[in-house]
Amino acid sequence: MISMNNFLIDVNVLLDAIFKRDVKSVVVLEKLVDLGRGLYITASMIPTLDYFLKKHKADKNKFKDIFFGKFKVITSTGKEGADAIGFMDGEDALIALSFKRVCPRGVIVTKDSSFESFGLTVYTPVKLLPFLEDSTPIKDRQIPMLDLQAEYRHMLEDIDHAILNTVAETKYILGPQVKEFEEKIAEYIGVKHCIGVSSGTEALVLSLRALAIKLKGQEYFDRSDEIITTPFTFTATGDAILRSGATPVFIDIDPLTYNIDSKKIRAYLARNSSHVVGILPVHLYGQSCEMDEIMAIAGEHNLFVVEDVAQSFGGMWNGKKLGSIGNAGTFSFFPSKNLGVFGDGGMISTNDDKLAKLMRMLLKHGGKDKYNVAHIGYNARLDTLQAAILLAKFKYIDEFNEKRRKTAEIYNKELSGINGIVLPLNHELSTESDNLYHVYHQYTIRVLNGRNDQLQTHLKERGVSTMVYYPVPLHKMKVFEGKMKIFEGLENSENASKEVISLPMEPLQKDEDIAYVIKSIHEYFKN
Amino acid sequence: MKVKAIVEGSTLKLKIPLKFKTNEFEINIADEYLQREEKTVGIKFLDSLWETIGDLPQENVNWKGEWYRRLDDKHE
Ligand SMILES: Cc1ncc(COP(=O)(O)O)c(C=O)c1O
Repeated sequence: MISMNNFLIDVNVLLDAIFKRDVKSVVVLEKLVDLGRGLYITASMIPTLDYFLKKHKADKNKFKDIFFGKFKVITSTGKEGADAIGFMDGEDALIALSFKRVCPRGVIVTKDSSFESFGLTVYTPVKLLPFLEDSTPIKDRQIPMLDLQAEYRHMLEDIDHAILNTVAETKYILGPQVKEFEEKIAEYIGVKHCIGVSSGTEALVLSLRALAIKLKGQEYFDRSDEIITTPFTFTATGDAILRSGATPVFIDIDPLTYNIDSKKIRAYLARNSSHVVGILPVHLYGQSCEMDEIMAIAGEHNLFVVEDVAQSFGGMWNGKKLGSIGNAGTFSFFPSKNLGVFGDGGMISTNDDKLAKLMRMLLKHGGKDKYNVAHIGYNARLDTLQAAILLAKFKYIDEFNEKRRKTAEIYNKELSGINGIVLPLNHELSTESDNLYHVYHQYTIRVLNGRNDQLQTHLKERGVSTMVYYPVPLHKMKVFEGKMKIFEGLENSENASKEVISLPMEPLQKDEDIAYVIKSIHEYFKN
Repeated sequence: MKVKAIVEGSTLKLKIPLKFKTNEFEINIADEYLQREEKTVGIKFLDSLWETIGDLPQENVNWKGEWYRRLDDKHE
């Protein structure tokens, strides 16, 4: 079977199905809905549809609610309109050109032959039916880690509208969408302030700089000031500590959760507490660190806590959203994150008014305004355009996080019992924490006996993408040489970096694709 | 009696016997098909759309022809 995922239903087929005129059109539509395929029309088709609905006295509001629950409407650009005039049938050309932009490998279902010159696959309902009923395995299946195209298509109307509106409004810098986004997310996370910034990295740097100004009355921390963090994270976490002037102290992870081991934080502080100013826990892969314990330690030693929530938007610890527990939380909206933009973006959350004020100054050159500059600042604003996209995508985040959890549940169930891999700890079931809400930014397994390269190759040959987060722990990177402290051994981090593999995790992934990943892993371990 | 009808590639389970391949026959299949008791998600979707529509056209319609005629009338 060929893999066909996205279908534009031409108006004649659509009307035949909607007005029950032709059984094949009905059957094709039924099957496509049953198979969960993407269904599209273009905005240019709406007037025709509208006319026949009106003529037959349809309840248009009801129709609208039901129809647009399944069909996405593609916007046509002015350029596509102008290009369409050059073709035999301009109306069909406009449909084809716009559909092709959104779904380059899409299929047009039509009874017209005029669609055939656009390099798209074109079928009549009759010709398409046998393919939809064919259950032979798909050839050349490709399963990406994440499918950003599918996600864009899923939110098409909201996103196109947000982008076009924002571009037309021209309030590109700190426009109203930034404020709206900040307020919405502050309410969602349960904090007083959310501050949009240009990336997750800048969110970390700004948080630490604001803390240095607030706590020490100086622009940067001193090299003698220590900030405790994990070496098993993205470079930016440790790098931000250096950029704030402080020294990172790398403390090993818990080998089961991959998060910093709070027992070891305690052990370090028991011996060397005098220079430590703060803790920077990273909620890795979507799972919270042990925040009660970390906050208790911080309280006992008078330390600040900045949560790196880059990978855990929407995640929770004991009913509290991550980013609302420490003095500040930092978020990344890098495209691959659970909530991602179309470029770079980030955010800081905090309940501290003074910190919020400082962060707002730092993100625009360090002053209340351009001519009253008090601090060494940055140009680190969140673009209005990215904020508008975030507002459009935010609607879907809870549903998508739930879908990630469902996928993880399937992986957990179907991969359990394979000798030679360790599944992620289902922390939610352990007695240590109630109510931990894991949002599975990554579903990461550990492959034992040095076989992870082989497993990755095996999966790659079958079209299944995997990634290693992270192959090099931070203390092995040159940038930290002579600028870090290491507590005891970091074996757990080093072992993890040799053994972990993250599997495809896409909220819109089809069940059959998840099943295929699972089957491919089983195949490897049978040999 | 249960028979399997192959209608130009589509496999439909039918309760009525098959005789000819005519337009009329296709309408029969349609009715039978659409009145199935276990309804799939797709048919539920279409069913709910049909419920919003007043009078379904009885005769065959040439959608495009009618649409263009209507445009002509509108702009004449
Ligand atoms: C744990 C962690 N911290 C910080 C960052 C930095 O975020 P950004 O890429 O938005 O600068 C990332 C992701 O890239 C991350 O995964």
